[in-house]
Amino acid sequence: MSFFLTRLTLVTLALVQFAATTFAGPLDDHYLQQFGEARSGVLQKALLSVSSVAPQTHRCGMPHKNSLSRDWNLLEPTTQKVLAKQLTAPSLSGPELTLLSTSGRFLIHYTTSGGDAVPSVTWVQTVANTFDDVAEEYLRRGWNLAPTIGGKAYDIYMRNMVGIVIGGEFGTYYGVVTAPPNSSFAVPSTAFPNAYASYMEIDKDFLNRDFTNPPSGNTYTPLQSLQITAAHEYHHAIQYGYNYYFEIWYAEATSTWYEDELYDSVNQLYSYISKYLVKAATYSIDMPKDGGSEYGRWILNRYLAEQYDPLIPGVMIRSVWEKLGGLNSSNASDIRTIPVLDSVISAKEGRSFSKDFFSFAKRIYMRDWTTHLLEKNLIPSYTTVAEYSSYPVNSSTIQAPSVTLPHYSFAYYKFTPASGASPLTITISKNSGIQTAAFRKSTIGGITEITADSSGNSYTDNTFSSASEVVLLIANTSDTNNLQANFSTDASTPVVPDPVVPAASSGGGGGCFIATAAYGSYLHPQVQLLRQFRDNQLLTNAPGRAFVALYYRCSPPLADFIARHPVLRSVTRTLLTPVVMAVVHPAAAGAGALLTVIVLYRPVRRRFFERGALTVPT
Amino acid sequence: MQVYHICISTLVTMVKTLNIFLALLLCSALPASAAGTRPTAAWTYYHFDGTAFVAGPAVDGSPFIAIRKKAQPVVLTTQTTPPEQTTLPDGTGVIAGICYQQGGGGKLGGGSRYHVYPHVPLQISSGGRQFVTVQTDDHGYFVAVLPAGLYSVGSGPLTVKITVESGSTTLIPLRTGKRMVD
Repeated sequence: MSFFLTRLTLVTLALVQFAATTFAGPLDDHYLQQFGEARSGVLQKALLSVSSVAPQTHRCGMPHKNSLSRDWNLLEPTTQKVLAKQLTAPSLSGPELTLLSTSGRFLIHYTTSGGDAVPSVTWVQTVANTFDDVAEEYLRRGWNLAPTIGGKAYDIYMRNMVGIVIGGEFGTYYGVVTAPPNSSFAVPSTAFPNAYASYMEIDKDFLNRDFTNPPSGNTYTPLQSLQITAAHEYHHAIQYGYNYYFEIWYAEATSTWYEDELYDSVNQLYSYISKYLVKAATYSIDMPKDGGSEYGRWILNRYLAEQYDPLIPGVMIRSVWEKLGGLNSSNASDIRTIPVLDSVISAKEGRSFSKDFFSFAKRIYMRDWTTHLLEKNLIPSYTTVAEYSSYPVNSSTIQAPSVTLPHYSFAYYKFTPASGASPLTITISKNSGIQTAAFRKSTIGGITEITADSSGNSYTDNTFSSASEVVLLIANTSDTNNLQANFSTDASTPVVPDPVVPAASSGGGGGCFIATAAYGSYLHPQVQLLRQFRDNQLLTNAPGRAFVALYYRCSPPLADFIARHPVLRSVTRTLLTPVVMAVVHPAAAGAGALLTVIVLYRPVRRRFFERGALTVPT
Repeated sequence: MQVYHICISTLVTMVKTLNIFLALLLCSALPASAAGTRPTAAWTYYHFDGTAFVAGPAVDGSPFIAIRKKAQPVVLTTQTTPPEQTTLPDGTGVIAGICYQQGGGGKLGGGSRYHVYPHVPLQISSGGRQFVTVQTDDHGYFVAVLPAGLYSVGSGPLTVKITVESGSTTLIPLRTGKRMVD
């Protein structure tokens, strides 16, 4: 009986296995064939199964995707892995047609019906040709092209991008590049371990007024919009191929900069610069995306290219991306670009990102750009934080001659001549990490840099009355936030106390070492709370800054020791609790502490003095 | 005799100083000890600013999260009434946060920096195996009560590793994607 049951079980299992392979196989083959994946080397079984089936073109993508979604759980895991990208790819409004570009590098997906309908197949061919040109140019400039899964052609979907919702926001978009964060899009290599494949959506025709007459006021033909979109978006695809964890600001700055390198005559990118310049004193160069200012920050790349690659623009910028490509992320966060920039720039003798940022800030005023000279007038003029025309300028002036700057930011102040104000002497007191320069513009527009005195903190223009303007540049050329500078024209400049916090703790990225060790995570809310207390309370005054500086000098080894001992972590957390409580409820904590001292003082005193432990002679 | 008085006087001053020091020490140790055994009195509020959680309720009316030691966090839309407390089981902590897609760019409209994902499942793994799946709420927030330990949250390149501490809530802004818009 036992033998019979064992045999029965084995036969049943064999039948189940047979049924699974019999029925699952054709379904897998069907979808693999429909989505053009049947030739994948990964799926030898499927490839054998469909060898006798005539190949079909993608005629009706949307229904296939709907069916695929419905039958997803019936597919084998290997098939799911290959077809996962099909569920994330966009669906078009009508039957999906495809056109392979001449080079074979791009597969253009389009439709001729519904809201996504293209104006003509000729336009689709123009799209394909434009992307071929762009890819060829990037290749010529030494870039790796955007990776694709299995080395297939890069997918570009032409669809209506006017008045649609992307990322929950209604708007009009030139294009979108998506790298779905799942393993089927990962294309790691030794040089680029965090490389991801992507796909792109672009507007179907760029005919809408939003493209031809954007708010910048200039007009653009559909072909021009296509060209800069291809240059811009395809570089994003390349960026995902270098490292998924890039920072968005530098991705946009690089893509936008390349618009002009590849299509010099379109010049749309100049309209974005002012969005950055008006914020240059309050936001860091590497602040996250912010209302379009990230596009304007391409001008930093113009400076870097002129500084380092006058003949073949972009070698330095490519080196930055190559360096970034080899780095790993810390717990899935984006990798900061500035240290990478600094690392690449510092390979040049005597250079650093700090020096270059200062030179870049100067160039914004000096306008001594050395490339694209015919377009120099398209670069907006510098933006001032304050302008002075009555003197002296000192701490009682309404527009305070004082500035606190975040890391890698700069501020301009303008002085125009007034009777009795000549000569003009500007005296500055500043934190280390701040660099300053002063410029004199003559009435005919010539600009000269005013030499500082021997202290480096005073600039004098003896012929101020005959100048058009004198301009003071104050730049935070360090990675430390909240650096301060004061100035005056009557030598009454209040002294700025020297800070401060080590670079490692700035940029919003620094931690309270001991608290982080005790709570186990930089993201722990108590740690965040202490960090905010540091930034918003302690760093705003001299004693607080001194305390923070002392803390950062002493705490790292202690934190390291605490982190390695669970008991100490618990003890430290307990000891930190009243500190956290005091931060959350300062008034209550103060009152509580006072009350406790009063309550405890008497018993403790009684213990020592009234029980005869110690008597005081009278 | 005079020297004796001076010595005694100095000693008394030292004892008084020690007296005050002891009082201050007790003053800080008592609440610390109390906090170790029962929930702290107040809720602390955090809101998501597009990149990280920052202290305080959101000023634009968007949801925010209230956390408290040894209590389950609560997602709120207003601060008018204090949230009801659900005490955490012993030996457990909380991972809470928001699921969002990071967006870059937006040439014509500025574009938002992120888009939250309501009603999506979120995998939490431990030791390489899926431990639990939680679902985000209407506002993209999630709360998971877990035994203390090390967990992976999310999937693919955006998986983050989080240590759950007993009795504590760890807030995570969890990216579920990164898309370059324009």
